[in-house]
Amino acid sequence: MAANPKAAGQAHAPPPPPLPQLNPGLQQQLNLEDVRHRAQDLLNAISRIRQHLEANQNVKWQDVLGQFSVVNMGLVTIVEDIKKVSKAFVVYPKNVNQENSTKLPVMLSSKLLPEMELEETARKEQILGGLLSLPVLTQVEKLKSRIDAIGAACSCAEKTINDSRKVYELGTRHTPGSITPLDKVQVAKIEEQEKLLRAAANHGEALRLPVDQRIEPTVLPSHLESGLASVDGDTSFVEATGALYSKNSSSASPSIVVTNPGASHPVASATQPIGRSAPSPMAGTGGISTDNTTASPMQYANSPRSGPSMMNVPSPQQQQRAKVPHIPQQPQSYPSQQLRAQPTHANIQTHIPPSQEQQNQLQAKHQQERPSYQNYGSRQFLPGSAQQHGITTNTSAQGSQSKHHVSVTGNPANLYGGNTNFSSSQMFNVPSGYPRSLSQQAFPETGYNVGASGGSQSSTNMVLSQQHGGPSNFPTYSNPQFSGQSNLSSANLPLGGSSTFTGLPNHPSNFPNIVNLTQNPLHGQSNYGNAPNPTQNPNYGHPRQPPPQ
Amino acid sequence: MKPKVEAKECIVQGIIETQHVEALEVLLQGLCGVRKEKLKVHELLLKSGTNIGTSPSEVRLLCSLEQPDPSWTVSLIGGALKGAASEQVSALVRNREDSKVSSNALRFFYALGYKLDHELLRVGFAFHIQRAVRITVSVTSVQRIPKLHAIDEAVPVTPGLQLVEVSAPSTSDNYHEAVAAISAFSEFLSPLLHLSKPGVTTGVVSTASGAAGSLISRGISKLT
Repeated sequence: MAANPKAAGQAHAPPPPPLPQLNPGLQQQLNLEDVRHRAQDLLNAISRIRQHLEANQNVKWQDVLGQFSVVNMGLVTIVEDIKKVSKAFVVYPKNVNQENSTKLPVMLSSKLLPEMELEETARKEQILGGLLSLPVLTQVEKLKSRIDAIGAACSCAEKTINDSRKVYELGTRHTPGSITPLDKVQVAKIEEQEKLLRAAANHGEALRLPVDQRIEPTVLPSHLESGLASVDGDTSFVEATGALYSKNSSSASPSIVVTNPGASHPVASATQPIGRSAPSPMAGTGGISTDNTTASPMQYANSPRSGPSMMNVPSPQQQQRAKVPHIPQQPQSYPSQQLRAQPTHANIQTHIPPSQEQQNQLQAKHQQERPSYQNYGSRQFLPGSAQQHGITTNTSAQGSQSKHHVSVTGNPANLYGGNTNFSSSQMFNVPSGYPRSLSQQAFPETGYNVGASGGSQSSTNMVLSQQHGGPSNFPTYSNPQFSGQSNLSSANLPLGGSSTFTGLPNHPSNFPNIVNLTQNPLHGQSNYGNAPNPTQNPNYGHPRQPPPQ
Repeated sequence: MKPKVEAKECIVQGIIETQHVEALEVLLQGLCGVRKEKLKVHELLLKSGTNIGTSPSEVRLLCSLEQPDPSWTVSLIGGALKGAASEQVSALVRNREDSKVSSNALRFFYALGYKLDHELLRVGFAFHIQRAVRITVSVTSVQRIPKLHAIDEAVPVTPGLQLVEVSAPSTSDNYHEAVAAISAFSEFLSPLLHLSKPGVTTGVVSTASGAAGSLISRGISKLT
C-alpha cells in the first residue's frame, strides 16, 4: 500500500503526464498525504525503538513492549483506513525485470496455493457439511445460527473469566488487581519480626542458650553423634573397658600382656593399633611388665579385686585381650599360682584354673605370645608378670600373698578416678620401651589409661613397689614405671593413682610422663608423690592375708 | 609473588512473608530453570577462647542434613568491605572461605578451645543460576534450637517471615561484577521482596500479595 501513495504523490509533483487521475472523491477519502505521514511516523518510531534496544543493556521489557504496542496501534489504524478504499485499487508491479518475472504471476494470481486450497475445501466441508444440499437461504440461516451460538458461548466464557478474576483479585487483563495496603499496625509488626529474624540469622541474637540450659543432651542427633563420639575406639574402648572390667584383666596374664603387643588381639578396639604399636617396643624391653600392669594391674596390686575387673584399662594389649575372652576375675585361682612368682608365663598359664575358661582362652591365645614374652630381655619381668597375675587374680580374692594383695578396692572405676573411659589401656603398656611408641600415638583421652588402668595398675604398682622391697617377685617391677605407679597406687588408688593418671590420658603430653616413669622411677613424677595409703595396701610389706574385699 | 586473592562473597538479604514463599518459588523456578535444591542446614557458630589469637574469632560449622549422609562444611565469614567503596555497591561484600571437613570437626574445634556460641537450623530451598557469576538464592526459615543440639525441636524464630539471601562468590578484584549480577537479578524479584544489605531493614513489599497471587495463578490456570 505504501507504493500507491508514493506513486500518487510522485504523480502529483511533476507536471502530470496524462495519468489517470483518481476519482477526486476517492482520493479525498484516501487522504494519501495523511496516510503517508502516518506511515512515515510509524517507521521512525520503530527504528527508534530498535536503536533503544540495541544501545541499552538494562532495558526493561515492559517498557519496550509498551512502545511496540503503541506502534502497533498506529499501524492498525492506518491499515483500517486504507482498507476502506483499497477495493478501488489494484496493485501491479511497475517494473518487470528478471528478478520479478518469476514471482509476479504467483503474486498476482488469485488462485490459492494448492495447500491452501486443500485447506479451504476441508474447512468448507466441515462447516457446510450437511448443508450443501439445502437451498442457499437455509444454508445461510443455519450458518448464522451457528455463528450466534458460538458468539453466545464466547461471551459466556468471558463473563465467567472476569468473575473469577474478581474473585482471585487479579483485576482485568489490562488493569492490575486491587492492592490491599498493609495498615500501620501490620507494618509495625512485620518490621519487628523482621528485625528479630535478621538479628537471629546474622548475629545469633535470641539463639544463645543461657548457661543453665546448656545441658548435655542424652541423645545426640545422628550427625553429631558420629562427630562427637570419642575418637577411634573410644566407643569400642568403652565396651572394651567394660569387658575388661569384668575380666579384671585377670586375663591379662602377663604373658598376654607381654607377648605380642602387636599381636593381633581380637579384642583390639580401634584404638588398639596404637596400643599395638606401643606394645611392640615394649615387647622388646622389659616393658612388658608395664603391660602386665596394665593388663593385670590387679595382679600386682594387692588391692583386692573387687567387683568388675580393675583392669578396666588394660593396655591396648589388654584390651585386645579383653576382646579375647574376657577372663573374669578369677583371681582366686590365680593368686595362688602366680603369686608364687612363677618364672615363666607358661607356668602361670598352667596354673590357670580350669574354671576360668576365659583365662584359659586368653592364655591359650597368648601361648604363642609367651615365647615371645620370654624373649623379652628382662627375665625379671616374668616374675613380675607372674606376680601380676597373682595380683590381678588376687583382687577379688585371696591375696594370699601379701604382695599380690591388690589394694584396689571397691570400684574399679574409682581406681581410675572414675575415668573409666580408657579406650586404650595402652597407657600402661609403657614400660620403658614404650615411651617412644606411646608418644607417637595420639593418645586420646584413653591413651593414658594409666589412670584407668592406673587404678588397678596403681594398685598393682603399689604392690609392686612395695614388693620390690620384698620378695624377689618384683624385681621386674623395680621398673621405675612400676615403682612410680605403685606409688601412685599406694598413695591413693582411687585418687592418687588415678587422679594423676586420669589427667594423662587426655594429653599426649602424658606420654612424657610415662616416659618419665620409666626413666625416672618415681622421682620424676610428682604425681607419684601421693602418700601411700596404708589402708589400701595394708599388706604392703607384709605377707599378705587374703585381701579384704 | 602475587598476593593471595581472598575469596569474598557478595550478599543481599531480604524477607518475605511465609505465605508468599510458594509464589517466590514459582518465580525462581521460572527464572532459573533448574530444580530447587532442598536445604536443611544445622549451623553452629563457634567462638574461640583467648588461647588462640588476641581477639576472639568465629568459625561456623555447617552440617547439611538433607542427604542421608550429613556433610560438614567449615565456613569462615570475615569482615566486610568498608569505606567509600562499600557505600557505592548495593550488596555486602565480605570475606568468606568455605571448606569441606570431616564429621569430627566439631570435636576438633572443641579441642582447640572453641566454644559453642549459638546454633540454628535453616530449612528451606535454594536455586543456583549462572549469570556471569554463579548466583545462589536461598529461601530459608531460620529456626531456633531450644535445647542443645535438639534439632527435632527447632522452632522458627519468626514463623511468619522467611529469610531470602542472594549471594555470589567473587574475589577481591572482581566483586563489582558479582554485585552487578546480583543487583540485576534482584530486580526480577522486586515484585515480591526487597533485597538489601544484611542488617538494613526493608519491610515487605505491599503489593506482594497481588504479585504472589498472579504467580500462583499462572502456574495453575490458563486465564491468559
